[in-house]
Amino acid sequence: MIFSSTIFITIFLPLFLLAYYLTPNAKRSLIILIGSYAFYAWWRVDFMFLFVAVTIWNYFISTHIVKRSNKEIHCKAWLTLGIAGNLGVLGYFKYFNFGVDSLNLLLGYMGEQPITVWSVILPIGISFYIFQAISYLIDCYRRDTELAENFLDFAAFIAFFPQLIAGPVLRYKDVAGQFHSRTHTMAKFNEGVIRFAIGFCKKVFVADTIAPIADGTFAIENPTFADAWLGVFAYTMQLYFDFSGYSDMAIGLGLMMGFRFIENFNHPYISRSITEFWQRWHISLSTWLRDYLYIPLGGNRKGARRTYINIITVMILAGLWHGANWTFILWGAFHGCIMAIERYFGSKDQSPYPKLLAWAITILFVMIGWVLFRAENIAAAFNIYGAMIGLNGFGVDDNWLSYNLSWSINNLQIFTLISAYIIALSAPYIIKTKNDDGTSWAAKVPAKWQAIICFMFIFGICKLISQSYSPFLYFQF
Amino acid sequence: MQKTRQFFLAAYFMFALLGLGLVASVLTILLKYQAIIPDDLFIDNMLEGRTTSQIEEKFEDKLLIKNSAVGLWGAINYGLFNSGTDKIVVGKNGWLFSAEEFEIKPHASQEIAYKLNLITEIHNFLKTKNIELVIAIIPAKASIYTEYHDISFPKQLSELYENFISSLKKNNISVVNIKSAFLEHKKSKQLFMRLDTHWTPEGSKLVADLIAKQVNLELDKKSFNTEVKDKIINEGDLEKFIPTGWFDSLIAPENEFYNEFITKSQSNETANLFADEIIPVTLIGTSYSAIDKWNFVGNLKTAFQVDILNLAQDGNGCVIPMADFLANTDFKDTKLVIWEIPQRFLQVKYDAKFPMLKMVSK
Repeated sequence: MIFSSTIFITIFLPLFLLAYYLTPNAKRSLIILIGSYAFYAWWRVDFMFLFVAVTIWNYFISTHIVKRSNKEIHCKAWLTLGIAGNLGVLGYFKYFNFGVDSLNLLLGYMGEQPITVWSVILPIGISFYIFQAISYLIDCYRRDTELAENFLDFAAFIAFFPQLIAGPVLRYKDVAGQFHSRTHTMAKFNEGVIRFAIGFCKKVFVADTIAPIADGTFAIENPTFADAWLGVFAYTMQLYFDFSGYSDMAIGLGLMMGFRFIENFNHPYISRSITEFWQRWHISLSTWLRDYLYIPLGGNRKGARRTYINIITVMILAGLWHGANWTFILWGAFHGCIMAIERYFGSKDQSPYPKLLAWAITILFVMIGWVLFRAENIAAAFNIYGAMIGLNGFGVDDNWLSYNLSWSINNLQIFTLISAYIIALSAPYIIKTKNDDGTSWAAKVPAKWQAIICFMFIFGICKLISQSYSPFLYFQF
Repeated sequence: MQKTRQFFLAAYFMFALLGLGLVASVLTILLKYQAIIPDDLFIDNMLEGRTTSQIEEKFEDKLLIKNSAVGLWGAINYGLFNSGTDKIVVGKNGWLFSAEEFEIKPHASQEIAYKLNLITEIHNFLKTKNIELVIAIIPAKASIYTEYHDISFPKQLSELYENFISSLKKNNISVVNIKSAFLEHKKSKQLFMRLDTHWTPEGSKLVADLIAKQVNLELDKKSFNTEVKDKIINEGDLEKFIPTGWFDSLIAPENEFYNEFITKSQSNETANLFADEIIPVTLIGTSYSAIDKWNFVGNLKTAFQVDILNLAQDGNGCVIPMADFLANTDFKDTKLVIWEIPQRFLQVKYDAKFPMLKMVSK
């Protein structure tokens, strides 16, 4: 089940909220757990057992880490065991097929027969819940967080359905207090509805409308110059509105239950450096990588050369986290190299270029990276790159666009794509992230704008029902 | 300091929405649970998520508010953006076209070559049974009424019709050039329906006359006559791709009518009451031939002055009706087979190991 589905909006969410608010405060973690397991099991019951097993494993490990807190060596051993177990599960379910395919590719080059083994299904959300579990173990080891009071609280945190399948990547220490005591007010619920509705509209109105343009261009065998750039422009907005829309929905659902999650996006497309981009894009992941990978590797404390290696390594692993494909690894390496170069020239904090130029260069690099992110394989990505520089020609039969693409794009898609750019690039200068009193912008939306958002939400539901099915892009990470 | 009053409009809206949604869902489940719950409730299906996936799909399909929601969104899409679903191209002056007519499908050349081969094999087979085969390729509506859309066809599509006709002729297969005839006569009569993929009864009459003129067979004549009976409103099959729901009367395209033709036999029907009926001409095709309101059969009867056995099927493409014919006929009385094939089916992928080929190669 996904948030932008009829069954979620009309059955799961109302029943869950009803059960949640009819339950006494002390028992609400149980409702969260049951609801979240039902949410996950709707996809596959068998993989829910894996999920429960991972939860039990991590709780078991964390109790031993904390019990042996007076003996560093034992503590570390348990932590290592815990992380190894988590990475083992992630490695098997996410990277086994990739490993076999890569090995077969190598065997092919060597003239050997490929090996044939079973295929492994990728459980939805595994990258997210494994990372959350790892952060919990490390925080327990570092004494950054208290041990979960009971298994129920921990299990509810890991399984919490608003962020279960596509983030934000939560840390137990940030929400533990909220599991014990949080306020449930009309103001918070209202804020949550607004965030959810806006996220829903971003996903259904913008991302889903633009998606066929990107899909169409990336499917063309010999795209023209215009095809390639149109596809890249479209995918740039599709990905942002899809993912940030989902994050808005997750944050909104959390607020409806009294939880306040961290923000996951902060207008990334106005960034003036790749370093800045990663401070604005998928913030929960980039901070996770900083705190649990970059800093343990030494961060910037071991000299310039080691810093650059650390940056590139972390970004390669970030790429690999996104997907089991060489394209993601290359994408991560691409971003890592640029970040290292920015650091070398001292431009990560202050670009030497005029602001507009710095922005243009950054957005260009981001778009170039998205080609790798979207393409099925390296060859397909370089096919697009070739088209982007005109290697496939600038048009077909006096038309800029390939034929099948030129007639299939409709007015709604064109309008949406243009609107998406206007919104993404102007919103940060029009809408304040925080109100003057420090509250989130969604906490004090004037009534007329709330009405408009509600109407848009209704139209969004109608569009959703019309299109029947719209999976999230970050679904199987 | 004055406290600003907060409005929780969104919260109240959400309560109402979730409440109504839940009511609609519960009613849907209560009224349509038999259609929603899958038949195969096996343990492995339930464990592996297939059951829930099917339930979700069927639930979404049966949801009571579905038509209203689809209509509202469709009205916005059509009214504001002049767009429909991805299956349709909205043209000018209220004309609608199937998106299939504009598409160049993957492996189009291979599929077209396969159809040519298939038709040739069937032609050769029927020839061994002394049956003449006439092919009627119905051109794309968008290639006839080009003035009602802005899309210019690439060569691969614009020359598809003529190239295919030419290939059939090279293989000595009798074929009528409907596209030329339609282009010649389109100003004097409307040949395709504005809101439908199909031809008008006038269009089918033109084709029927064209075929009768081309075929030179000695057939036992009967007398048939076709007359206009009435003018009837037509709900075009393309209209469902611009669903406008409650806003139909405001923004939907203007209604379209067709002339209802009736074909009657003029022969003395009691003369050979108990004699075996011999129908020498068989029509095979798609909805263009199967749907009575286009009166293609009636027009063929009038043009040929013989009875026609209509084995066309609605919704099964052009290959399956021919496969059924070949599998179930004894070929005894048939002298002529007219095979109507819409142009857009030439690119459609069919199983290369189609059983029909096995039959004709025996």
